[in-house]
Amino acid sequence: MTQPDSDRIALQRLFDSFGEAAFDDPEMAREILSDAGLDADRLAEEGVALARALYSTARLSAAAGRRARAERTVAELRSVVAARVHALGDDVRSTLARLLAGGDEVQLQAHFRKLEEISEEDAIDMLTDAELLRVLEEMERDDEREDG
Amino acid sequence: MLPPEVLNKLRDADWERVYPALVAYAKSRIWRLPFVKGGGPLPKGLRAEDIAQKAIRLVFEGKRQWDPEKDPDLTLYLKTSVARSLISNLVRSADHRHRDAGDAEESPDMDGYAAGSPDPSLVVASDECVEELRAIIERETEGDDGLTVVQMGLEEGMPRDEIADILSIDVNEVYTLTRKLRRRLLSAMAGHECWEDHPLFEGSATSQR
Repeated sequence: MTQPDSDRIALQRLFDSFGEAAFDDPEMAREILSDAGLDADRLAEEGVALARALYSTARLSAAAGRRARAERTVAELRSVVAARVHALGDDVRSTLARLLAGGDEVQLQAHFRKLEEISEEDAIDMLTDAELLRVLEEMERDDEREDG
Repeated sequence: MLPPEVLNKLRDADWERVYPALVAYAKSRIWRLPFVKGGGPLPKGLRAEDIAQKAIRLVFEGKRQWDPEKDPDLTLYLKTSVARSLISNLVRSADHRHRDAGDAEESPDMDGYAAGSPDPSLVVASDECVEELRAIIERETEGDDGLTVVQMGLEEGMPRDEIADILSIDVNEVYTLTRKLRRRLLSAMAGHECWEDHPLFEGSATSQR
């Protein structure tokens, strides 16, 4: 006699339900694991350790992603500042020293001394992210003064 | 990259309970008795722990994107949306290798797994074995209304709370009956020629019950 497909499907469903029950019934999980020669308590410890390791890796990966995004932003900022400083047409180092000093004569001398030791090409590359923002702000203030 | 709130929910999940359950689920699928075409065990050499770890890793790495708003139950998500599909793909790859007997190719889904020889239990159970199992089920549940209703309900795919309603018992008792049914069936099946090559009965734990 040929067994109908529905009967085979029903049997498959019955046996699958034993494994499905492992999620809601820790005792069923324990029995299945024991039949497999596996220790449920040891697996419980391994599960916690695995999740902890994966969590740390995910945190590190997220931090690396944030750092990469920040570095991209600074690189974009540097390129904007470089384009605008070069467009002013003067000596790059003098322009940067003036913008960084923001009108303070003592600061201007200090920045000029620092910048004159490096090449004109390196001057913008040497600026920190805070200095880049400061230069940009000063350029915007200059623009406003000219417009006003 | 996972949103921080999702990562924190993953960190706070009850892994002490979830991981052993995932391994047990994967193990029961590896031991699956192939009654229907497309069913069957996983490739030889692959451990249940490998599948459970892979499922969890995929979620932590965001390769399977768990949305706690849409799927609040992480365990259910891991089972239905990750482990089950992972296992289905592996069963298909094992079935494929069985048809290309002798080929030793890399599994497409699990790193480092090398195919072994085809598994004899991959062959769909014969009609005689299906009949034999039906006879075993009838014998082992005879005279026990609780076991009979649980067996029939599970074969119908009925949720356990519905089975509990029919029997007017607590759902936890349905789980107890489910375990009893499994033990009885496996014990009666052990040693029978239909399943003598099946990995489930290779150990002594079940056959000695």
